[in-house]
Amino acid sequence: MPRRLLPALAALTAALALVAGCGSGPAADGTGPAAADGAFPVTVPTAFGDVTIPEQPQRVVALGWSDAETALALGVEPVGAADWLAIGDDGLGPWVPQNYTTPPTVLGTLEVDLEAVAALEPDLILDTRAAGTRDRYDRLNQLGVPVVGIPAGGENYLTTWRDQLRTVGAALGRAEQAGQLQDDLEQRFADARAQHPQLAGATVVSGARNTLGEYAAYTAGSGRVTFLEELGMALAPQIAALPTEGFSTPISRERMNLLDADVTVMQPIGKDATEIENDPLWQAVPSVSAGRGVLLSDRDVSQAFSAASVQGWTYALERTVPRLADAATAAP
Amino acid sequence: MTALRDTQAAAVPGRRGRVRRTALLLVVLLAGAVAASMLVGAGHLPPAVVADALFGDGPVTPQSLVVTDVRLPRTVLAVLAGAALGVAGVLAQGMTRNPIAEPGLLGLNSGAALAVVLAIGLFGVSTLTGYVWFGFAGAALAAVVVGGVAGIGRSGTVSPAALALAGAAVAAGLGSVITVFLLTNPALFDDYRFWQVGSVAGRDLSIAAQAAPFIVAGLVIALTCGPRLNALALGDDVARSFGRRPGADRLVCGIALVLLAGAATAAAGPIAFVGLAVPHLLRGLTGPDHRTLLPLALPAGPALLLLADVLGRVVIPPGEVQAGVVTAVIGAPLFVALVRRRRVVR
Amino acid sequence: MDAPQAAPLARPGGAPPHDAGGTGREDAGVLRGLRARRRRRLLVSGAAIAAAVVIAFVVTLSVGARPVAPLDVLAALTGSASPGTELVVLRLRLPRALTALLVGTALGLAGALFQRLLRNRLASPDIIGISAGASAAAVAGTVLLGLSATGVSVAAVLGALATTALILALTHRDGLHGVRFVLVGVGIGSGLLAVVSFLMIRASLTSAQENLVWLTGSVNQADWSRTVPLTVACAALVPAALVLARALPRLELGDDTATALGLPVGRVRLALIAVGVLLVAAAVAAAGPVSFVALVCGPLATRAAGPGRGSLPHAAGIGALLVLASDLVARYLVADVALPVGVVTGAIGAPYLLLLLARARTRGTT
Repeated sequence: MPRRLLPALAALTAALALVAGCGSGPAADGTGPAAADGAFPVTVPTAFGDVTIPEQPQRVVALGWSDAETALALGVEPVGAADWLAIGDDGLGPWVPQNYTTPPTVLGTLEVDLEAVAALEPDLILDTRAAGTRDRYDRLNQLGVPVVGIPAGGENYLTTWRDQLRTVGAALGRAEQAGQLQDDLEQRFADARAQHPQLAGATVVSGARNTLGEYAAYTAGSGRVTFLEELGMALAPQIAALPTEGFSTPISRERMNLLDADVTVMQPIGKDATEIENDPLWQAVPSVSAGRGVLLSDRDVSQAFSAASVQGWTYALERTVPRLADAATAAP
Repeated sequence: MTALRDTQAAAVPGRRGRVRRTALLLVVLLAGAVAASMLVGAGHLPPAVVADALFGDGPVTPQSLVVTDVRLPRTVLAVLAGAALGVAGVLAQGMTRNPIAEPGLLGLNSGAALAVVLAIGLFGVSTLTGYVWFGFAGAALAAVVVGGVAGIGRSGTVSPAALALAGAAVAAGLGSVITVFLLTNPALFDDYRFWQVGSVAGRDLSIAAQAAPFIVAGLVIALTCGPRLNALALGDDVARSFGRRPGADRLVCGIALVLLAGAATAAAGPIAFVGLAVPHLLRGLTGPDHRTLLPLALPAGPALLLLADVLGRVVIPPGEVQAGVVTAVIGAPLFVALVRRRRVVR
Repeated sequence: MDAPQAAPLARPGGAPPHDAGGTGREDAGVLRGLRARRRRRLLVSGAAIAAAVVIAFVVTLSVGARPVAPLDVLAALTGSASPGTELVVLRLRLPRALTALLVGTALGLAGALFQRLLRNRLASPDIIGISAGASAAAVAGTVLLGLSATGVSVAAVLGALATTALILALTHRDGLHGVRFVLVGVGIGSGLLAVVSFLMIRASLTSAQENLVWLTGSVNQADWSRTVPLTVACAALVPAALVLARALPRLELGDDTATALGLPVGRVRLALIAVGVLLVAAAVAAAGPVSFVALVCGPLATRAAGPGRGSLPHAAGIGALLVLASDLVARYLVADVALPVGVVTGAIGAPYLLLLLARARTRGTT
């Protein structure tokens, strides 16, 4: 079928649903919004154009990376959620203070199972951090439900926490609350900067190690680097100059000196951190041998850091800033 | 037996000198490849630094660590695995009287791969050291299955097509079993996808040390296999008339083959085509006598694998192409040329 | 290294197609009887397969997260069901069921075609490098060029065609030689698969996972935008394949005899290969290289229909049935995870393959 027809059809279906009214959805279950701060309908800008949400959504399906916990932070419980970090159970990491009153249906992340989504009878689909392809968006759009896709520039999981928070907040009619959360986290970053002036301008490399003992460094624009930059640190110039593939760049074991900076942050991927700790090449990185390596051995901290969500970073901030600051103090 | 040896020796006059020259050439090539492997890499190190790190007693520096912890282990492993694969190739082709036989094409890789997946997925093994044992067992098992299925044990002659297809089919079959595990377990998949690219990098010396006893044992047995393979090459009936027992000969060669190919695959992951190329190159230089092919494969296999590894280090800086990918990309055209040029098929 | 060695796995039918040649007049009656019995067997097995396909198709449309009764399925198809049912049946399930049906048809037909053309039961596109070519192109497209769905499909088609053209160019000297074609295909295939595994480690984990799903073969992402081109391709290719396949019995007599019978051997064979590859390419573009379907359908069809040319439509039907049924299993095998259909076809195909190989050995002909 011609691709142009699809959006048109979807729009038609959406329009019909609008005309018919949305009374067919299941009754609100008490977790719905008590005091919406935005009046519906709202219009949310996305990379695929403006999306209009006609009414306060009652049944939200959160498909994107960290979408569910962002919605939860705004006081909305999704009925379906994708578990990107493979945390298991309801897909919430320990950094999320809220709990579900009714656990959501956990959806796979490999392929979108449209039928499973449709069976949840959603009235809003959140997909604000994902591969962000037109194809994925078009498929979701077939359900005739408003789909809030990635914001502009969010391809390949690169949606920033601010964009995610703002987009989700707008879609849920909780823009004000989202703004509040954003201010809070920004304030925390500002406090950290004020408390640890040595972080300002300190160069940093954030990396990870895979099973084969190969290292990679995260590049500009990736969540991890953004986190460090919010603290006033600066991505080390030798990494910024490397060609990138997505959000990271591979580092040969022979060129571990590329990881050298005022502060070097390292995460294990899927493994415990002892392999990194015991790697003589890691120990020999100048910053590490000088005690300025920050190894995120704690799995929760490491995942919260990677979650790049409001609550993930609030959690990671508390647990990493002292160590980052100590490392930066020791920098020449 | 003596009659057999005499006819073979007499068939190629001046053979001794040629073999000696070839051996010398290969040893020089291997030395060059080892030197290149120690000197060339993603990081630029002056030869003096390399020499100092290896033989000097200076302090440990990041640079010296690159030599001792990166280049040395991968060179050692490449030498071991290369020797094993090269000799295994001679054994496989001799045993099956088949010019396209090769450990990789026989499906050993996929057997090892399935075992590794089981190791990670079911038993929670998460280190390369742990994979080795599973990979070894799996490769050995696959060799037995493919060998049995293609009927190597029976007549000793297997048509190239039957063999290649049996190997490819077993690989495809095991591959889809692996996929079930990979799709339901992302962490497993993440480990596995790095292992399944054959590479001598990222493995420390303990991996080589674990594979070494198997490889040495395999090589020792293999070096006694020259006369056996020569006899098998004549066909079972003729071999019997010379007083040999083809079944026993085939069994001994098969044990050596499984030891060598299994251990090499377990340690370095699937590396194809080295075992295919080495016997062909050597036959072109010294003729078909297995008593010379086997010892000559000892320097030839490592030289080839090392050169592939070094090539992989320099083609896409600052990253690397794994040795297993380089050998496959170079080896596939070689294989095709072989199928086209030789009258492998009527 | 002579040809007879390749014989054990050769000839999908088992018995040569024209084993009844050279009969005298008194045999004519027996022969007629045989023919009638054969035709009956063809029709009965064909009808059984068709019925099973229809049932699987309807079941696919009716089961799911929201079950729809078969009667309501019918209502949805005729446009008289509730909008909710129509959404589920027409928009979500129909493209999926059609894709499974057509992919199975195309792969089953193409596999049987290749097996007969190359006279080898193992010579299916999975194994002789054609799927590997499509896979390498598709994975390179996503990892290196960042292509998404449509781009990947195009890349896969181009990859399959280019690989086949390469194999042909390398083997087509004085006519096509089946064994050489198979061997060159296997060699090129293993080189290409190494490239795929290299690309898989260059990709991020999420992208590598998406590629893994694609490589396994899946109809979970089927929607009309991909089902329509597939339908059009099959509508053109399936009849073409069946018409061209009428030359197969003559081709199987050997090149010299076939030429003597007035068959333009070279051109016919090239056309058959082209149609086969295009069928594979169409299926792969829609669902990825669904493993082993092409491999198992030919021999199964022979078993159902008896040897000879009647088995090609059967192979297509069995392919459709296999993919439809496997998809149903894949959806419910693991709770909450819709597995790609290739996992199930692979799990069926792998043991079958080993059985096939072991059988060939016990016949003692390898």
